[in-house]
Amino acid sequence: MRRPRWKAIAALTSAVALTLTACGGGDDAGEAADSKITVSGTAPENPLIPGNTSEAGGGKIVEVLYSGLIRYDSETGEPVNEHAEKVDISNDGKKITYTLKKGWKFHDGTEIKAENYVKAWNYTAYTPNAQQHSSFFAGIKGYEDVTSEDPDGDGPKKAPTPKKKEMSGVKALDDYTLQVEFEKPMPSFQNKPGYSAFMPLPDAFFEDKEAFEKKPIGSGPFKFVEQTSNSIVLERFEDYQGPKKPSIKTVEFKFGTPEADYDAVRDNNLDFLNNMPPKALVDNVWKEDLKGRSGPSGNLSIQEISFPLYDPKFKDPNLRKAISMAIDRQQISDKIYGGSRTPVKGYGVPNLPLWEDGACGELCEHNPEKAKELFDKTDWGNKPIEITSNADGGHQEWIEAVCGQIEAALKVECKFVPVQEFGIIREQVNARKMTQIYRSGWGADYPHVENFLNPIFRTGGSSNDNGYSNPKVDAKLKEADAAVNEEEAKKLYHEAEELIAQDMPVIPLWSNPYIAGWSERLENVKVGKLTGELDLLEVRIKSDA
Amino acid sequence: MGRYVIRRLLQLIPVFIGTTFLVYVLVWALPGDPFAGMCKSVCPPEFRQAMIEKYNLDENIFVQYFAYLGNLLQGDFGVTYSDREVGMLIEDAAPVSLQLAAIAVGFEALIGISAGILTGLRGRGFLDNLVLVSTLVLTAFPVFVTGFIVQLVLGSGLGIIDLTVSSDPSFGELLAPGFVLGSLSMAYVARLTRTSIAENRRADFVRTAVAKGLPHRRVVGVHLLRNSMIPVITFLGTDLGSLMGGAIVTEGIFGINGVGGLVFDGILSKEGTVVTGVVMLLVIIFLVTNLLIDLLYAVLDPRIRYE
Amino acid sequence: MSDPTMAAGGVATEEPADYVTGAEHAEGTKEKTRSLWSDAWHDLSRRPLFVLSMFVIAFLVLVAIFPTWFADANHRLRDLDRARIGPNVPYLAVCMAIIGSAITVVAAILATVGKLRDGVCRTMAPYVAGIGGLILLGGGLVNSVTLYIVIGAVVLACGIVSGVPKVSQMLRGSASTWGLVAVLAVAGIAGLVISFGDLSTVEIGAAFGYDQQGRDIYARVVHGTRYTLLVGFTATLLTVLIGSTVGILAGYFGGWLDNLLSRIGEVFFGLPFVLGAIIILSAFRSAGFDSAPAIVAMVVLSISVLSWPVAMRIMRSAAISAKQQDYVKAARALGASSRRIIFRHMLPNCLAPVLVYATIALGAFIGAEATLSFLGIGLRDPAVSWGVMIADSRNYIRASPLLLIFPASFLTLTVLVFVTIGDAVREALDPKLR
Repeated sequence: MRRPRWKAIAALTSAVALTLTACGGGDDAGEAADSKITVSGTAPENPLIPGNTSEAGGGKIVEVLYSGLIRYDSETGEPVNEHAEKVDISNDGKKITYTLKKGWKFHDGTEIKAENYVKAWNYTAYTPNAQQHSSFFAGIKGYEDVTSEDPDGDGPKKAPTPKKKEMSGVKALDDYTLQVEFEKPMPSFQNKPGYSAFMPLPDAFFEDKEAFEKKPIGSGPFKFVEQTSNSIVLERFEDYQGPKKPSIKTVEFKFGTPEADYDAVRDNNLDFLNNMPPKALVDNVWKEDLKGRSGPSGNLSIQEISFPLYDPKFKDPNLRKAISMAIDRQQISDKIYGGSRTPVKGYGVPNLPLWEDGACGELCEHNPEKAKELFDKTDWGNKPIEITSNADGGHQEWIEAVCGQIEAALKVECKFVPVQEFGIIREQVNARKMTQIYRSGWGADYPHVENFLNPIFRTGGSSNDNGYSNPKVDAKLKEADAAVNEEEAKKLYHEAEELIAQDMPVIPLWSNPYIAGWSERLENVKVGKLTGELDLLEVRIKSDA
Repeated sequence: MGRYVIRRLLQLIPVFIGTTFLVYVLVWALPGDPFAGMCKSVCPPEFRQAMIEKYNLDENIFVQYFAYLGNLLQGDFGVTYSDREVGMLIEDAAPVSLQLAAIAVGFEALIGISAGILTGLRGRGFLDNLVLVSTLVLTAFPVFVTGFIVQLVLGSGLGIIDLTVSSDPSFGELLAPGFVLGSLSMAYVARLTRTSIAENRRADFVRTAVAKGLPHRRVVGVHLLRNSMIPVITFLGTDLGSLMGGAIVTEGIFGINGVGGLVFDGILSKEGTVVTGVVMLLVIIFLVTNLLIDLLYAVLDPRIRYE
Repeated sequence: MSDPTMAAGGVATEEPADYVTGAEHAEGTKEKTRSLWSDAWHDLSRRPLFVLSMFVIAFLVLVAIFPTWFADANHRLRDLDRARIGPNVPYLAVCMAIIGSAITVVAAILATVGKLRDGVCRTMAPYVAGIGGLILLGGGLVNSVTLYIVIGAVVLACGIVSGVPKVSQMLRGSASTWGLVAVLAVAGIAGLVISFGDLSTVEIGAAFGYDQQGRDIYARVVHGTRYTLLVGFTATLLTVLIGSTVGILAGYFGGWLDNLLSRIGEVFFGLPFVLGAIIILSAFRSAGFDSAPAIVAMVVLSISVLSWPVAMRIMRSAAISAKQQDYVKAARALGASSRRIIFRHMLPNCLAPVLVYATIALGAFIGAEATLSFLGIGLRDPAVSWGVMIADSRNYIRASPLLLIFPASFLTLTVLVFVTIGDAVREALDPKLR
């Protein structure tokens, strides 16, 4: 079922890696000139404009449709220069200058110049344009001038028009030089420009947005051909200047349900599926069905349950800790997910750069006695504990199981309250009207531990939906953001996590790695360890197929 | 005849408006933020405003509805939240649903009518009982149970069919889902045919035909069957229409991207335009097939004349 | 309706001679002219499948009202450690043997009564024996217990032999009937003794195994009966109430009222059933009806709202034809009020076709509830129904098909029983078929 994922696993990084060290063989493009593959996808929620695409369905298309300053290596997630020739950071860390490669073209033949970046970034950041990625530009000089907040959240009053339309910190020094200036040193910015918010847009976009939305013009290795109700077709862009050219000519993203897509991959009617549906995880049937053409990939996303802290019922941290300790994460992974989930003891996930497991300690370990002890200290009484979520997407099974464990440990009734629509939960959460414990999750926008902490736990963070606020945590995070080296940052973020765990505003459960499967037609299949997506530049069709 | 058709067409209008208005109200006018599922966190007010204008949500429900209906009559089904044309969505989904419904009706006709004729002509006996009991059993299976059993036995067990169809299914792939879809009505068709034949066998016109000394084959083929088929054809006709939209479960089980799946997704994600668009279409199909079938009566049954 | 065996099963049909005797006997004693209703009842009570179905329904209703009598395990207790553990086969086999043997004993009693006093008992006996034999045999095969298999086969054979008309004609003699009774009684009692003996040796556990959350499937099936039947009965009741009220008003008064009501009916009739129900349910669900009674009420309402036009059409045409009857004209001529005419004169005479519809619809509505629950918009926890269980099992049908098969068989059996009754009632009441 098509559903916006919570904090969409935002296209996070690319399906395409441009590593120089990658195996050769990708450049025999002429050999299979009319080769076509089909990849499972979900219908994009919005037109394919990079600054407004935050959900996974559109994200994976945007990633190959556009190109940016850098790309993320599909296997390591490390940023690698794409359109950027050279990156210079000023001594005070407040300025980054990108020198662009010459001769790169958009799909309509116009050249990509520094001005295209400037215009695209300003457009995305300017809040009246209502682009979802506006906040990615926070920290850049002049960002405050182009943004404004709605004074009453969602209410009748309108947000005031921002002072300016352009950020003073983004400048095109000449056609091939782009300079970004920050309010404060922002070393973490270097990892960001591969994200879709930072893609350049051609002049055609600013001339006729409607036509552009119907037929987007990007600059990536694939260009847009057509969109039907259940698929989007892309074709190789022959003028793409990247070091590696795709071998396949056409790629079609088909929108179906994961269940049907799984069967289709098994029967070789579909070429690639990035994640197994719940039915394939039962007894690990995928291992048998897709023998030799499947495997765990990556996906930096964590499953959690959250407490609306503004509701006085959930004020007592002992309650939250008790519930955390009542849950046997490993058992759920084994029985519900065929062992494919990795329990975490912190607010990050394995493979996440600069993250270290264990911040949560014994609070995230199954310990029914201790849980009951803590629970008895609270004044919760005999009220049933209710956990709410949308029921589809395989969430019902694990929440029911969590409830079973809570009942067993805390001897209090626990109910799963399904809602039909994910949006209903978002609506209540956004309005700060949630009255039940709810399922939440977080997917990396970009691979950095900071992305798992700042938006959620910092006072006033962009996704701090529960109103969590702890000055000590804020201070620690601030300190970590400005850390001079990675060692230091890693240590400080871990300390921040430890502080958060003591409050347990959110219970971390497990990481949700993807398991990909593909058809027998494909060879040289590389699936991003961090993205879980098929590397469309590397994949080839078997010559005998 | 002409006047009758016009009168019937005029009668359709209030029914059409009533049904579609009902659906429109259910989809659009009930509490709950229709755009809640669309934004990552909070919808920017500008976006919200644009949406409200786009769908006329600030007007009262009647104005909204008639504005929508006006567009619809010009062939404009509106667009989804993600700006895809609903007309196009339906166009893409309809052929496979139509195919599926046609196959289902084909099964109903083939198996149902032959079982009905066989038992109707032969009268009581083992075969008659067998058909009666098996149709009874068949009606007792909810369609999703039949679907799972077919999948389990033919798919996982015997490996004859793929569990789900490909995205652009061929005729052969649709046979199993078509059978599942048609199974319920198949039983009904068999019984209807049987009763109808059994009744007509005793009718005067058949006795007369026999008395005239017509050959048995002619009596059965021309007099008995032709008259007995009237209610059966009526039923098959209405079924074709209702199966197109009623295939939600079957389409879901076999992963067919048809109208049923489209409208079900639409309902869940509160895509109002998709739901109203599809339902409008189905209601039109339903009403028109009903009308056509009434007219068909006149052709098949010389006793009926519309003034 | 000439032959009551129409709805009867393939092999075990009732001997026609027997029925004629029964009918003559009955007509001989009662001199009164029979009404449509008593005629129908007389006809129905002689249909083995109808009587059997009634017994099954009575049993299901009992289960629905007192589920704890039949399952003492907590149907809501989740324990992942026992997730998807299969059925306790020896226990299941013994339980089946006990039930089969008990039914066999009942068959023997029925046959005895039937021998002494002709009537429905006699016609029932072969069916009951057949079912008992089947269950016993099944119990034996499930766990390959030879004794159960032998006894079950014998009982089944007895059922078939006494049910096939020709054979039973040959066995008509008193000695052979008593012999049959004796075999059934001995087999039944032997089965009971043996299986009760075995019961002490097997470990008692979940007969049907545990589902994906480690809940007892048997207990859930038992507790699911309540909501399944509740929805079926109330939806039928509501549909018939709305439909016949509107229908009789439209039929009696005619004119513009008839026109208006008919159009309104068509508005609801034009919505495809499943689609309409989904739209209604999801619309009201987002309006926040979340407690168990509210969910049940919503499901019942959405089914009824979409089905009443059918009942209305039937009632309306019955009312129109009744209106032209002499008794209505006479009543009107005598100055009876509309209310009196409708309630005293027309209603009793128009009820039959609606009742026929109601019995058939009941089965269909139970199926509809399951379909809606399956789609995730019907019932849901804490209102367990078989449809909910089937929906929960959909991801596991390959790995553990029993998760699907147990609730699905109960669902199918229940619907089957209701449709059978509907079928029988239709044949007994439908004047067209008489």
